[in-house]
Amino acid sequence: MNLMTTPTIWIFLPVLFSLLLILVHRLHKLSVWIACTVSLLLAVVAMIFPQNLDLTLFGRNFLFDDTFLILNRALIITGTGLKTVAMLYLFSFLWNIAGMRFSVSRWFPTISLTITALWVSALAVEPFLYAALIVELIVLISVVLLTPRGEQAGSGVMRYLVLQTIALPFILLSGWMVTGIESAPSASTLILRGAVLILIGFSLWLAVFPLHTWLPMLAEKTHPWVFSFVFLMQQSSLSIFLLKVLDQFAWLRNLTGVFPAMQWVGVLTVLAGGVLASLQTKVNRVLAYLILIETGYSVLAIGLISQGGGEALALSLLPRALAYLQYAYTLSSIQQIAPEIDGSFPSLRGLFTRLPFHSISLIVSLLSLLGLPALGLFPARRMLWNSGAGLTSHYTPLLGLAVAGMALFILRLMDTLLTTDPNPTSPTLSGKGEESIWQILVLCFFTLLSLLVGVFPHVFLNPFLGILEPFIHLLPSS
Amino acid sequence: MILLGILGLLWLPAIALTISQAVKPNFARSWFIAIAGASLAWLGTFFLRLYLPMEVELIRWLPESLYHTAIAFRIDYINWPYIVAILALCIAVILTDSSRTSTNTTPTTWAAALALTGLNLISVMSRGPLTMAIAWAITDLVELSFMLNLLRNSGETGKVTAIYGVRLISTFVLVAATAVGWQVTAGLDFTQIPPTASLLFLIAAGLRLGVLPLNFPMQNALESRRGIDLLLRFSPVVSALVLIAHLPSEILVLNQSLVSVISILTVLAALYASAMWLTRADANEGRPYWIVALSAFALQSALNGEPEHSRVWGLALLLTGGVLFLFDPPIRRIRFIPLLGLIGLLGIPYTLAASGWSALLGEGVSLAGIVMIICHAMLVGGYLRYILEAESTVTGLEKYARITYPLGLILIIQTMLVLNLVGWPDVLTIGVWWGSLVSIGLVLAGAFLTKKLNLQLTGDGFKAKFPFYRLGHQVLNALRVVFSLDWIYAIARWLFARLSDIAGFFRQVLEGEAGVLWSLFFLLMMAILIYTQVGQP
Repeated sequence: MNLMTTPTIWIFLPVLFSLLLILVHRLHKLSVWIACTVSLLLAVVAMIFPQNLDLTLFGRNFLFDDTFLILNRALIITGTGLKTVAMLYLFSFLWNIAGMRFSVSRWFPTISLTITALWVSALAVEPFLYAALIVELIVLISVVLLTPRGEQAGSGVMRYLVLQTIALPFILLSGWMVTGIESAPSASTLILRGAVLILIGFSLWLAVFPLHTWLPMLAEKTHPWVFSFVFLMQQSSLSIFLLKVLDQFAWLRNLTGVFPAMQWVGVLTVLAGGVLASLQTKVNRVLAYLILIETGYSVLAIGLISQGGGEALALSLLPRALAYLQYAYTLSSIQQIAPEIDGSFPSLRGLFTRLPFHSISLIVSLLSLLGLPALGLFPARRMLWNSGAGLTSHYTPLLGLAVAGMALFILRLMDTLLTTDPNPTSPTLSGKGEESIWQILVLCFFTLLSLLVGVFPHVFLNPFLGILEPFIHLLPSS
Repeated sequence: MILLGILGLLWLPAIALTISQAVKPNFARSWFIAIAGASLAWLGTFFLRLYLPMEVELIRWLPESLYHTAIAFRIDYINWPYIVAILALCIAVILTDSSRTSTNTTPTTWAAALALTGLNLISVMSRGPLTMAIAWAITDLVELSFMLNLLRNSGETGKVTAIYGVRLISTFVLVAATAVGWQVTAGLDFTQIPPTASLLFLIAAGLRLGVLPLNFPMQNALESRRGIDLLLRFSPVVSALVLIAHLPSEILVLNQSLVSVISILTVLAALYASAMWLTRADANEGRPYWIVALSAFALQSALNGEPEHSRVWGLALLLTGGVLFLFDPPIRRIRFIPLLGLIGLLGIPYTLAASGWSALLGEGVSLAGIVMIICHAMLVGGYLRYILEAESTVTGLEKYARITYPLGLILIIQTMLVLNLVGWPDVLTIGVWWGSLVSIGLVLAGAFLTKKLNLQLTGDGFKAKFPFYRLGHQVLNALRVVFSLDWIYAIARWLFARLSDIAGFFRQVLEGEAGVLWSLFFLLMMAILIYTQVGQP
């Protein structure tokens, strides 16, 4: 068995560390630091690793293999696929390091590292249908994190489990059904059925509209920090996985109507997310709609792949993660400082007078997700809006409505945060100076970073275009 | 290089002032730094005049094939006068601010004024709509933070939401306009705006100006007489005015009926705002109406196919308005200075606004043109009224303030005169001379009647003596109710409440016991839809 392989480094090694972390999980700080160090190291190494996997270190040459065979199945991480791996471990690092001060599950460092390694393996496994099993495993492990400490699993968690599990047979069936049909005519019923099964499976996994109903239920009960991490990883990995499937199977990408169907699903998901978000009165639940909107944009980007959607998707991965990070961090920090705030609008009324930097940070993160010019997500959003407007006039008003819905929520939230209740029922809202310098610096840093990414996307985001390199059939020019 | 120098001269002193105030506060030193930075920047703009038109590319997003975008500046005869005007206002604010004992002037305020002016310059100098959208977004965020800080202790922060909301919508309309424009030319700049997108650009500017639809988000906001407040009010207006001035003149080739509707709305906005301006208790209260009325003039110029000439009304808004609004305290002895400010508004031949008449009135004599002349007369009348009613005699002014206060006002008038000579080629023109003649005639007639009947617009005697006062008052009040847009907000709130009820019902259904079954139902529907659509030729 050849252990000098890329899967050994980026799958087995972190899994090994996760096992080690189980032993020290009671020492929270130590486990966080181990998870951070391992994640950061793996991210950095993946970023600088030579693409031909020929590493020269201290004058010695190490040639790594990109394939690891296990039970006659292969785990393949090629040189071009390392950018994705680096990104996933970077997310793991960010959520571990920034979440150190929040009282989330003790198992967070352990499970976050495991989940990251499993997502990498889901993207690496061949044949692809085995990824369905790995995704199911991730879902099962995530349940531990998503269930609040000391409480029974709520209905949101149960539905998450049920609907994600339903996706499993769809993917497995499609894999079985379409084995060896590469040469079949594209109008073959078998291909059509296979395509429908795959698309349904992905719809369930990604929780597109109208299969998203469990998302807000889960977001309401789960710690925002955990929720944002689990679904950022899921969303980012599944988007890339969908690209991989489309790239791998010519019969799927050449099928008439696949990409327009994705465009419509994406647009409707964005629209549903925007409209539903506008009606919300709980900031925790809005996190679910933010995930929904971003999922919609990802699906739309993949649907617009021949109009530059791939690049838009790649450019959106980092700023989206940063926006989630800022939103979840601010929300978690608010709830840490003032545990009586449950995320509902009445509890947030007049918060600006008490926590001004947190209030502004909350708004800025939402504006970034809205796609406000100068903030992180704008370059990617603009590409999608322009491509959508160029393709058909139907998308523009729907996307405009979605943006308006989201903007309405932001303004309502802003009004709530800024308007002081003339007869305060909660005496705690009159306090001042509760934000430490450190917290203010962190929040300002997030805002500044978002601005920098938005104004200099070519500096911060271009490296992420490398994520598209492996998809040579789908994106021949990349 | 000069351009970056100008920005540096604004931002570096702003940073220096903030640091100096935190480490070792010194009022005189801070004042000197602020005034020196702003003055040098102002003088620097005159060097720019020698190189017009000029372009400076700051950041290019690469690869070009992916982004088609560069954050770049272009200075031409359209925006250069605005640059000079903004800087003149900044200096005037700092000069006059230090003489106001009624406000807590601090070096931090001057630092904010410098920083805000620098940001404003960025959006004014933008080469294309994308740079402008980015500049708008950043400026709005900075202003938002500043306003929240200003109003934090007053408990008035809630009003900021409406103001920011309008700005946010206008920014997204600008982005939408850019998306439409890009379908014709990828990476378009202001010289390439296609007529198909120009209406959206116009709406974006109109929203920011408060004209389309007519809205006064600032109307009920806490009025402050601080100089920096004036910069805050003018800041979003300037870049929107520049955007209007950059629109293509073929705007009229678009959907004629739509253009007509916008034109009617603009004329109504001008009429209402100028009537309100004329009848307010003081200039400070009338400020939002002044801005809307002159912005409507600029919009009407664009709708008449001469967007370039809208700049004269924009400059009148800034400079003539600046003199009046900074004339605080309104000292009777020096009221001849703000009177000189009328040079920038009257539009008599060979003055700054002379070229604006042809754009405002359009071709031939039209009803819109006549209404606009009446509006102009009301604006002039109101301006005169506020100055002539100045009765203040301030005695406790510091020695330095006796110089700096009038100097600030004179500087603005000086700027008008300079722009009158070198603002742009053919600035010295006769224009439509009869426009100003009729307007002045109307003002004189109004003044004569007022004198003859011994009327005072805000006095009780006016009600009794003025014919049809009650009718006019009722009409104005009705218009005020209509244009306050409160009824739209009420309808929107009602609709929103109903929509929330419906959404709540669906939420109960989908998140209730039968939720999973509903999900399976949706799944089935989706499968059928995909099965019937995908793979079909």
